Amino acid sequence: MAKYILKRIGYMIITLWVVATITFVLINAIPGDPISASAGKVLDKKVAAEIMKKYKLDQPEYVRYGTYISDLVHGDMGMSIHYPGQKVNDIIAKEFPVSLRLALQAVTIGIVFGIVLGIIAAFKRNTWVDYTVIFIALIGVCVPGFVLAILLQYGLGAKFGLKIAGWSAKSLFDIYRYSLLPSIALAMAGLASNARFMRTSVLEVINQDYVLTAKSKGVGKVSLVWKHIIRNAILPVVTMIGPRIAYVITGSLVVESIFSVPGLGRELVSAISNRDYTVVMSLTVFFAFLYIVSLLIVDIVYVLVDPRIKLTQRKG
Amino acid sequence: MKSKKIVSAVIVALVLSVALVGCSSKSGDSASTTKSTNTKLDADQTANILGYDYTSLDPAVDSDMESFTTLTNVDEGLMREVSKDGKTISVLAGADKMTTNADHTVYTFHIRASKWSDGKAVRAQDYVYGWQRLANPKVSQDYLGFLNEMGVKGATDTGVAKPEDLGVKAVDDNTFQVTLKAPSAYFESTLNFKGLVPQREDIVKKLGDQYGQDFKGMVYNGPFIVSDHVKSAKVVYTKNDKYWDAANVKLKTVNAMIIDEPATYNKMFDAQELDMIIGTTDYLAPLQKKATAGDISYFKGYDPSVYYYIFNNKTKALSNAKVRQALSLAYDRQVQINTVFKKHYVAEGLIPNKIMLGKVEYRTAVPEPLKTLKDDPKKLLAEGLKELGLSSDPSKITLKLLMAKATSLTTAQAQFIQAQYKKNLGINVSITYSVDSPSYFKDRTNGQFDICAGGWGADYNDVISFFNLFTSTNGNNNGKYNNPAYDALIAKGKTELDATKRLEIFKQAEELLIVKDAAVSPYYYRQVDSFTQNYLKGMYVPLFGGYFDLKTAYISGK
Repeated sequence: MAKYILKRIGYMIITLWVVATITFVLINAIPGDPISASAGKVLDKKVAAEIMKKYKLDQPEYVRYGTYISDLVHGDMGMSIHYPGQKVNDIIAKEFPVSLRLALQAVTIGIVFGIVLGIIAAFKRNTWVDYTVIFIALIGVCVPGFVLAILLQYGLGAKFGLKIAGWSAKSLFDIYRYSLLPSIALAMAGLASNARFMRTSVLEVINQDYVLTAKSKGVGKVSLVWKHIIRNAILPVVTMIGPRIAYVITGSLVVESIFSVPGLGRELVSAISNRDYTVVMSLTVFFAFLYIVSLLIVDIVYVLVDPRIKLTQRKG
Repeated sequence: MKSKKIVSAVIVALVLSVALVGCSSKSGDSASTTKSTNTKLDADQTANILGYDYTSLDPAVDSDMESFTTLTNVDEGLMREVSKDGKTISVLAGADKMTTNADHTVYTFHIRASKWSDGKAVRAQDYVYGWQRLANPKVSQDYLGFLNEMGVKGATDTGVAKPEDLGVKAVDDNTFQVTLKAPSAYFESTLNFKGLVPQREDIVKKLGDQYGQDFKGMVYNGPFIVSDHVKSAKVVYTKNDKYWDAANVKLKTVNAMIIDEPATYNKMFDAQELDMIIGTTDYLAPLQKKATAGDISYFKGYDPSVYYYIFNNKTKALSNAKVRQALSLAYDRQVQINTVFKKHYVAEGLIPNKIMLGKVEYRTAVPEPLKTLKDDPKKLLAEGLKELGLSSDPSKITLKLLMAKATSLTTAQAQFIQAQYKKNLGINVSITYSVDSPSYFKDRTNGQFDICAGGWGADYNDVISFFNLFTSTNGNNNGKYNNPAYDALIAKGKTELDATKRLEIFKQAEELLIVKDAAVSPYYYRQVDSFTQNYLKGMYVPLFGGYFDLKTAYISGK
């Protein structure tokens, strides 16, 4: 296991380096540069040249690339150009917890409610309960998260006067109050597909011999579900957690903008339109890092959940 | 089975009800406050308003309206903008006396006895240091050339080589002196520019590269300080007790919430979670209606900016003045405002309302020149084409219209112009949309257009800040308009101290630019709308200096 993890970490470092390089090439290829992008008006050529010098943007690309990579290796993610003096490490330190909270809440809501709904639907197959769950799943998959987000805002915020827009970290209550709707918006797609997968999976498992055996032995309903059915049926859901996290990370770009949540997704979007090279590159590398780490964690969890699965081939 | 049919019906009903949630959007009851003549202050002087994030608190690097808004409220320079008798003027603030020598080349300011938020005295040396920073190429940004535009001795369009080169000096702790290259007719109007506030050398050295980001470590000399900042979420202003005029500052705390989505902040304003917002797009009309009913207060204002179509003087068909005049006349500005923008004021001149020339509001003294051009655009076009030696058949001409990123607004605008030119002149217009703003600016600078839309906002309250734009050497002169006569008028207008003569000079310049040469075709002056709850009184929406000035605001009757 340890050797496996080390190998994966090695691959991760190589992947991150490739991501950083490709992002560097791409962002430098887009027309425009951070100086003219930030300026409300087009700057005098000479003034623009001075500002470029100030931010060392007048150096040739390979020099800038080299500086960036060596800084990155030392853990220094650089400084924002659009917000002079703002260190990217500080941006991440301040805003990542916000995005992380939303992501974890969204994934958790998606998993918990998805599994519960899936199980109920499977047990009450072909009844109105089942159809309702399928309907919810349909909504969750077809309606984009941000549309749901806006509908929720209007529906709950305006009508019931719930304070839901904006962000405040003053108290635990405040934090949950403001993160509730964005998390739900992000969770819906996951909840929907988890419910569908779970339903199918449970239906398969219910018909297995060992379940019949357990039932005939008199095992209680709850115990049956918990000990026997879930652990076997949950595999498809666990498989999907990896891509689910990626979806939530990228979906957060839109949801955060709509709910004015000060997270990394919103930061990345504005950095791109500001052509803030350092922020774009560092945040992209960071997102790649998050994604790869979560895949690794998911793979390990996989093995723990189902001992039948082996991560590596055994010889002989 | 029957139950299956019922279930399907229920599902359909559920689907429809989800769709209807979006339709029932009547906002909740607006609090109908009776118009209160009570000016008694409430005990709780906390305001929550729609706010804007600053990029930096360092006055030498800021260039956007959002950052200027913050600086207006936490820092103060020699002068401060106020509105008096309907005119926007500057009054002495950080300085309490201003004198000049006989030929108006040396200005001496007596610095008012006042303190920074950390208790240290505001001194003339702080002004010297602040102005030197603005002219320092290693430090300053977009406004590096501003001191040159002001006419300060030693300044170039790329600042100064050494700080000591700049013509500013602290004669003693309370006397700040500025030497100009030549007598300037407009120097005084530049003095409330946000980059010219005093700065503390010891704080800059102490905070290093975090100067501008570390709001706790910064010191402030304005009516408020920044007491909290969550990036992209909020800026909290707290009254600065050390401010020299603190006795007249009523608000104690202002939470400026940074919210991008108009839907969101309009809902919050309805629910009185926000006390002030701006009016944009579809929300403007309902807000105006509520204001007419007396439920909220309305600030219909002017933004010191004019928007115009730029003609590329290098395009063959556009190199003739009559052709350009025809294009400038051949679309209906009011219809464009009614159908495309739904707000703003029709512009038939270069200078917007409220801009001053000396003590006079320029636009009240000079009628808009395009109003006097009554020729038939079709005839002008035909004559112009003949003079160019081109075919007189307008349909043979296709002009490339370059627009910014494609949005509902830019597409509406482009299609409107295309239709108007086809109808009124018979010429064709091909439309190109840019990918995003930086690409648009790049293409515009490189002349990749026949017609494009542009705008200019002034940095200070004098007409020269607009007229400068179209001199042949100006980097922002995208259409490459080049008329030595115009350049000569502008040069004279900078130094002519007699107000009457100066007015005449610029009147001629505007006539030349907009009518005789028709280098650009102005179409609107920007309108800026702010709304406040009735209990938030005394708010000032500055012409230069951002979205709000909290110094005189207070809560009463909430």
